[in-house]
Parts: sequence; C-alpha cells; structure tokens
Amino acid sequence: MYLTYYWAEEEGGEIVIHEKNYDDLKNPSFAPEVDLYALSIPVNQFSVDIVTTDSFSVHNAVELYDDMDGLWASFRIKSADQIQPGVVRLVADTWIADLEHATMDAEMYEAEPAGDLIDACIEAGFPNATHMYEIDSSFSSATVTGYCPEQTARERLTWVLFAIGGMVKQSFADVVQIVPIDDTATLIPYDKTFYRPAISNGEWVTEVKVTAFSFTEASSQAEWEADDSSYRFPLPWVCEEQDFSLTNSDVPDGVPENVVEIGELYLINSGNVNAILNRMAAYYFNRAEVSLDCINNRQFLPGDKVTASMDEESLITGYITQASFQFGLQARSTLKLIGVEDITGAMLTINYVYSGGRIKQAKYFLPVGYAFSIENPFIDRTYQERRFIYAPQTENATGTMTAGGMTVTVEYDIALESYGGNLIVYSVDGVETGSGVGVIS
Amino acid sequence: MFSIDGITWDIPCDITRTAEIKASDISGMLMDRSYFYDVLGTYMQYEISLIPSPQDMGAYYALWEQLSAPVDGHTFSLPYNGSTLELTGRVDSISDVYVRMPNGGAYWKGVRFTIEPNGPTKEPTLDGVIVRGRSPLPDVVTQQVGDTYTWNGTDWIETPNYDNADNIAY
Repeated sequence: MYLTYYWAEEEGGEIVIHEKNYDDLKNPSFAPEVDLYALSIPVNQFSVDIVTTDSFSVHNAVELYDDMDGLWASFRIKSADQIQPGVVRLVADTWIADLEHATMDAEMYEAEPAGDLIDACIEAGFPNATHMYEIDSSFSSATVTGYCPEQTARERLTWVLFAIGGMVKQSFADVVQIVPIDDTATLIPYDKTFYRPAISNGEWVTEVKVTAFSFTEASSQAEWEADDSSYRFPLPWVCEEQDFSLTNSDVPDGVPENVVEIGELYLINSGNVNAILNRMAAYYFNRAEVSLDCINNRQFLPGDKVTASMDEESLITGYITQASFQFGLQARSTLKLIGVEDITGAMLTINYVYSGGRIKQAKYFLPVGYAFSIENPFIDRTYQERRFIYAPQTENATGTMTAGGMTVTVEYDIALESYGGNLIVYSVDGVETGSGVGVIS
Repeated sequence: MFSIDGITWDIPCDITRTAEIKASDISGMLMDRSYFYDVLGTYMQYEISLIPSPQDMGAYYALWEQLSAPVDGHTFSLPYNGSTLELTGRVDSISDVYVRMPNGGAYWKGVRFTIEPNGPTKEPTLDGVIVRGRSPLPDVVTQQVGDTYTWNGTDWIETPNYDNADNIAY
C-alpha cells in the first residue's frame, strides 16, 4: 500500500498543490461502514503508521492506495502524532463528521427535491463543496415533504436519507457517494471465503411502527393555537398524525412483544411510509447477523448486497454494513452482514476436459437462478515427467443455476508442453505470457 | 569471498544459504479446504562460519569489529547462483571460541554469524496474484504454434521449427 499526502503552498502569488507518496506504512487499520437504513451516518476513518520524519498538517487531504493504484480512501487528516522517532501515526477521516458543527434552521418542506436538500445539508458545513460528493441519479425525482426542527446538518442529512432510502458511502472513491440500497447480490466465491462464517441471532422484533405526519396551513391563529401538536410546529402549520406498523409473521408463539418504533421524524408521510416500513422490516425482521472473513481486494464493500456460503450446503444473502480489513500483499476482510436471509442453493460441477479425459473438476454451491460466469483457469499438470499447461477453449463457464444441481463441461487444448529442458508451444490463443520462466524446466 | 559495507573479505569460510518464503498473517484455511497463502516474498538468510588463518588474525579481528558495530544493518554482497546478491540485512549476534594452547599460545576460531535480510529478495506483485491468477507461462514474446524452446538454465531459447511427416510440430 501507499499513501499520497497533499498540501498547498503559495508560490509567486498563486496557490500550488503539492503531493508526496509514502510507501513505508505499518499497522494500517481500516474498517469502513455504512448505515443501510440511515438511522445514523457513521464516520469512516483509517489509521496508519508512516516511517518518515516529515510533518503533516491536520485537515489536509490524504489518499490510501493499494499496489495496483486502487483507491481505498480519500480522507482528511484528523491527527498526525509522532509515536516514536521517525514514525508518525496518522489518523484520517471523512468530512461527514464536520457536518455536526453546522446548524440548520427549522424548515417546512413541500415536495422539496431531495437532491437540493442534500446539497443544502452539505453546503451548510462546506460552502462550494459540490466536488466532494455525488448523489445517485436515481434520486433525481425524489422529493421530501415534512418539517425539520433546528438541527445539525448531519442530523438533517440523516433525516432526509431516512425519508428517501439513501445511504452514504464514504470509502473506495474520491468523493462521498449518496446512493440507494442496491438489491443486486454479488457472490463471494466459496474459495475466497475463510473457514468458517459465524451466524448470530438477535432478539425477535415483533413489529415495526412509525408515525406519518400530514401538515396543513391553519386558516387562523386561533385554529393553529387549538391544534394539539402546534407547539411543535411554527405558524401557520398544523399537523395530523397517523401510526403505521408492520407485524413480523415469522415470530413464533410465546415470544414477548418487542416493537421498534420511529417517532417524531417529521419527514415521514403517507407518500413514503410504506417504503420506510418495508426497509425497516427487511432490517429488523431478519434478526440474523453473519460475520465472515474473505479475501477482499475491494470487491465486497460496505453497502453491497452479497451471497455467501455458510458451509458446503447452505447459502445466505445479506448486506455488508462493515468491512474490517487486514493487509498483507492482498487484503482480508471481516464482513458484518445484516438483513440476512437463507436462500436455496444447488451444486454446480465443472468438468475440465482434454481430449475426452477429465483433467480437473471444480464444484461451486450457488444460488438457484444465479447467472454464473466463472473464469476457466489454465491447468498445470505433470504426467510421466512431461509437464503440460492446458488452455481453456472458452474464457468463462457460463449458465444459470438450476434446482437440483447441474454439470458443465469445459474443453481444453494443450497450450504448452515441456520435458527434458524442451518447451513446445501448441496453442497460444489467449495465453497471457508472464515472466515465470523458472516454473517450466 | 563476500563483502560487508563495501569491504571485501577474502577469508576461508562456509556459507549456508536459506531461502524462506514468508506469508502474511492474513493467510488461512478457506471454505474449500485449500490453504490461502498470502505470500509476501522470499527472504534469503545467510549463515557464515569463518575459518581464519592463524597467520592473518589481523583481518579476523577487523571483521569482528565490523560485525559487532552497534548499527541496525549492513549492506552485504554474497555469493548467489554463480553471481552475487546485494542484500541489506542485520547481524543480531556473532560468536567465536578462544582456544588456549598448552604451550601458552592462543587464538580465536570458529566465528559464526547469521545475516537476517531486511527485506525480500523476490517479491510477488499484487496484480500478478490477482489479475493474472493463473499458471505463469514462459515469457516467449514471439510465440507461434509449433515454436519450440530450450531451457538453458537462465532463459528459454527458441529453437528452429521442424515438422515431421504427420505435419505436427515437435
């Protein structure tokens, strides 16, 4: 990994941005997270020890990259402490935390475009900050209706995202991304998952309940003063409240009542209450949480929906809320999955065949209905002191998984053969050459 | 013969070389029962035992002083596959034996030290293990079906093609 540090200097009356890379990093710690249901906006941060005698300025930008120039985090320096001579412990986080310091006035919104409101929340903390974030285009038609009391910009943003079903992704891009929850699941391959995932079950939630608010303008001050709830809302607004709820039909008999209730969030109205209840039910009614470790070089990120194997014969799907990374040459992450559901799987058997004979077999336990596309590997085999490298005739094994299992056959050609210090090239189409000359001898 | 910090020592010695392929702590057992090794690199460790000549103890003493200097590392030039390997490493300890002769003579013998490398001599690359992810093939840039190559210990050398009667290249 390496880290890029940016700083500005005035040169000849102009501000010039400088950057410097540091690759002598130790003890990197990075556990980004999202709140899928926007009940909060957690602040992502990383820390790393840098072997250097340089100094760093708090609030300056830093970016963390892997050795393939993949961006892991684009944050600001929160602290930079010399923990021993020649070693600086640098902690960096996102600017989301600073929205806590900006206050927004009470406001009544009537079909306010959600994008404008998100802009206003962020601009309250960072004027002219449009380059710092992106709002997914799917929110372009979303509106917000209701009342917000005086509150911090971070809390206002939380309310807005809760109302429209958005979440904040702060890592793995050079801007903060405000996106909807994506229901498309990505498969974490069996052979990338460490032995073995753990599942834990929380308490049953028997019901989720929210209050929807409907605001109208009072015709007179007397009418406004007569309204029971008018103390909460400025003149001329009066409010009608209506409770909505969903009951968990999976709860066994005898389980004590346990209701999760969202009250006094005045952006809930008759137009969004059903969607909000469904999102809450997806979270609170699926009480299982899964913790699994996998090889994760930025493929499986917080906010993503994934499918994973719990063992050889069971699959689950769920949303990643946190990925806690450990770094070697590659990266390993402990994923925390919520909204976990069991799904039906079946065994895919791939026979890799050359000239009618099987040279390798692979098995994958996949969700039924899953459209798979699995890269066919080059296969290395030695028979009677002759070493063969077989090349697949097709790049991927593809298909849609059927109930009860299925078998796919992939045909191979001999690409290379070596024996007694000789090497013969038979087939080179699609062969990717490398520098591993020492391997074949 | 080897050198330390640019000083060459032409002293009779035994050198034991160990190549250690180290993996990171993220390695572990996968669900398919295969073991994932997150290989960081190959570290070359050298253990050197000197056989000093009683006639040239001055060089021996000088080497002892150099090796026992309180520094965190040295640069070494060491024998390696018919060539030399430039290595930055440290010597944690050195030892030898003082021999007292019945006639009153005395000498030091058997100095032994181990060079622990600071970094790997061979390193995999991240794109190599992720993107390629397949068996390495020889770097034969002009590959064509039927080409043949001979391994000369260092490189694959292309040899002329020839076809036999069945028109298959061998």
